[in-house]
Amino acid sequence: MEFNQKEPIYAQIIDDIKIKFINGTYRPGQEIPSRRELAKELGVNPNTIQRAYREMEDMNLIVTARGQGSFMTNDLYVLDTLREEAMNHAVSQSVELLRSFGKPDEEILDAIRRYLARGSS
Amino acid sequence: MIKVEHAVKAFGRKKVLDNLSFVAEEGQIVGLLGTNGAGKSTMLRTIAGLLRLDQGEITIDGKQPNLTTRAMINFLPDVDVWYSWMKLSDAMKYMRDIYWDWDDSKASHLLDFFELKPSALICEASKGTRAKMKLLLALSRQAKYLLLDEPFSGIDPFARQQIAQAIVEDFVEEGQSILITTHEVSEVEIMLDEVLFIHEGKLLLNGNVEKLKQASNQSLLEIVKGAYELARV
Repeated sequence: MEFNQKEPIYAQIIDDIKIKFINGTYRPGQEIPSRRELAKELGVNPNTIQRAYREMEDMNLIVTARGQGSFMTNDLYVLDTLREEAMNHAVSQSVELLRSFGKPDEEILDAIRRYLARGSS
Repeated sequence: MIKVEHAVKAFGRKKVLDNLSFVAEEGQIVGLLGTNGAGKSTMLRTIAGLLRLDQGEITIDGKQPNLTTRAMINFLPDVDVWYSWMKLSDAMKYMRDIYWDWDDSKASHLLDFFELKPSALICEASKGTRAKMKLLLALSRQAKYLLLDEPFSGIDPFARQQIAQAIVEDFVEEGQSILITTHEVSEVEIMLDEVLFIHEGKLLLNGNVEKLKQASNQSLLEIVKGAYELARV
């Protein structure tokens, strides 16, 4: 993965795993790379990875079994909540951007309908 | 723990280290960043015990730099120290004879990882290959402290990434303490715990990289530039 330089690295790692969970790269209950593996693979400080994993444990996004590695949660409610959050975030970003161009809401809605009607691009 | 207190070092009239104090905790990767001539290399050489301070004190696990601390420290200088007739294998033999903590299995792992040939002459290798050879010679020891002086300078991005991976991998396996000087800020920031930024021998900034970024919502380069601008006015 590529890092941007502005955000803390641990936050970017959490976002990356969230996205992989939402888009199905990681399925519920699937094992994810261990902290050590990920640190080596990305060349990221292992203490930073540790922080990301600990926060994901606190968020109930992953479960770590001692000596067995880390796994995505089996709790489908967590996945649904993440999907919901991701959608709201994407919608508010696009709508606010279009509003900032001075587009009225009806026009934005029309544009979205037209886009959807065209089918998957 | 490496502790530097009020370090002063002058070459002629120029104060290269000007009342510099900091602590490098165990099990951390600390980046010593700074402009050209800021005093980064001098700081590393004094910790390694190759230079003496004019004033102030350096302690490594409570001891001043001496022969005992030298055995605990692994110093990768930015200048080339190997004879022109030496092949990589000669340098490896030399290191094995000098240091009891030389680890053959690490050396052969790094030979594979960097795709280096032991029969190659060090002085004839390209800059990037030479940097990898030097890093192999340094990382194949199991010293508690690793001092790396400009391991990335003049090296292409692909080799840089490999070098960064090798350093982090070594750190994951051994958890030593690493002090690394560079001016490639964006290159090292993902591997650092702490950052020290020095300019004209003075410490301008010191802190945990992730916390600094979180607090300021800026990249490490922007944070460091901000500290630099502030110091100049």
